[in-house]
Amino acid sequence: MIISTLAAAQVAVEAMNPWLKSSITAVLVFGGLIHIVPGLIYFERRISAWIQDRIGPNRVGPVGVLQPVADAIKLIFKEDVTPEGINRAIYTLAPVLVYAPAILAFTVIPVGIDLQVANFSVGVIFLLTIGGFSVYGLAFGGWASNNKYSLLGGLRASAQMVSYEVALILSVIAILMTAESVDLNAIVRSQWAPGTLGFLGWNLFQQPIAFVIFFIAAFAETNRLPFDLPECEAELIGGYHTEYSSLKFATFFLGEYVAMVTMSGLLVTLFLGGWSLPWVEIPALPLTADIALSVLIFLGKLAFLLFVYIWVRWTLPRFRYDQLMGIGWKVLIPLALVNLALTALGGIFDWNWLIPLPG
Amino acid sequence: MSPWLQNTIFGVLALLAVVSSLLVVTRKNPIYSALFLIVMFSTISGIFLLLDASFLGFMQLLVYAGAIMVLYIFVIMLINPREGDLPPEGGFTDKGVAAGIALIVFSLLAFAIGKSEVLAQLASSGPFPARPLPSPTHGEIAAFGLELFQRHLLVFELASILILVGIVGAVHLTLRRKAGAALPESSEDAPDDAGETRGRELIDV
Repeated sequence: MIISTLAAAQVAVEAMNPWLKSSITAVLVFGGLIHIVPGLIYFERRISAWIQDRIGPNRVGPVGVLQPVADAIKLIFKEDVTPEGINRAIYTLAPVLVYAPAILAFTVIPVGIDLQVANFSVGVIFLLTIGGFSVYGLAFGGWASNNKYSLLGGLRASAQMVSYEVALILSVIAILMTAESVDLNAIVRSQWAPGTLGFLGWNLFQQPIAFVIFFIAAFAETNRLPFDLPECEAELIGGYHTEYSSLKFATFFLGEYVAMVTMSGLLVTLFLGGWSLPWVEIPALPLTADIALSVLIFLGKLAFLLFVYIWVRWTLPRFRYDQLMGIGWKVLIPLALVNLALTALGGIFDWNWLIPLPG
Repeated sequence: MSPWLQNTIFGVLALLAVVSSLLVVTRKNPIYSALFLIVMFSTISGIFLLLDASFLGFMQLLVYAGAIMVLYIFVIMLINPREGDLPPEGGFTDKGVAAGIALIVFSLLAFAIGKSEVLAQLASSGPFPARPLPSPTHGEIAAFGLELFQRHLLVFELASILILVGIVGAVHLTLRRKAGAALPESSEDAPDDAGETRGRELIDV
């Protein structure tokens, strides 16, 4: 029964017009991405409650799963308060400038075997470029709000993102050197190794320094605790989004969470073997069932990473701003450069300097 | 992509680039100027993409529209100049002088393009000539890297030394400030390509 359904689906997919196929992929991926966010917010609240020994939202729907829906409805019907003295055009543009790059950047992430919305030859570079554009939304939003705290939040956001983007990109370059490609699917394939210990082929083990740098920089790039200085409540009320309310605030919020999902997706792809599993051979001509399986593998890894994001947020205290800049410029960037040199040496002498591949 | 579609997209992008660069120099508010400069860099990157130079296109976005413009906006927001703060026009900021310099540069470029053989070739092949195709992968990162590290190795290494000098200079300036010595007289002295590093000294907010 299942096999015949899958076979029928296979025939249907193969007969499809390429335009129709990519449209369906785009709708599925974007729809999925948007719907991950409310789920993520629910789980963030439940997990934070669990970490802090509270109960968390449990009133709306069974065990509170409808809480994000209630939140969304509340945000939609709230009054859209617009403060005086703002720069209206830029004030309105800013939330979109945060949200649009985050969701655009996701287009190149392969969620399954060769399954992505846009297939650029320079996928990683596209993602890093477009993802970095979010900072304009934060900076312009803070500037246009005509509020000291917002302005400071915007300033912090731009300085922080420029600093950590250097470390982030330097760590990614090491991965590109290991994989000898800029194509994200090729990077996933290069991490696959057969056998039980095949997961040692993941860049998490092949490039541990790059992983640590990327992991830390990813938190800073997405403004998550312990690096959420641009919006830190204790000092800046809400930072760049202090003056935003209703759906504009919701768009900022959505952009932030989508950026988090995108960053986690990139981390899975670059360091955790993406849609592949070491025990499962990558088929040369994938069937629909193979693609479905690979999507599940990707989502599983993604869910784990998102849990780590939440876990870290509710465990670690916030950094001080000078500490943040110190770590970025004096630790991460030199370390990334050293790692780059080590990777280059390893490539020249064909020498696996940390963990040899099994088999 | 058909030549017609390609020419249309190029026309739209070129028009956008010209209009936004005009807006950059005519806006009174520096934040608007910066915003339109970002638009201008993005359209240039779009033209690179149209020429199949994907790596160059995204680098244009990443370096100029991304990193450098963020620093510009950071500085503009930090200083937050109002209209009265701007110095009065005169000398190099005089409109007539600026227009004269622009005219000289424009006529030099036009002269060079008019002299080049490419234009003569294009002129002989009709109004919408099919673009010469070097190879489908000529804009990809591998082809780009080979070109850079083989034919233009010397220039490439010289440029990297220049950037290194800029970085060392910027670090030196911050060290002097920390030791309690006099501030550097003017940050205007720093070379232009040290823009990336010049931001560093401002980052400790």
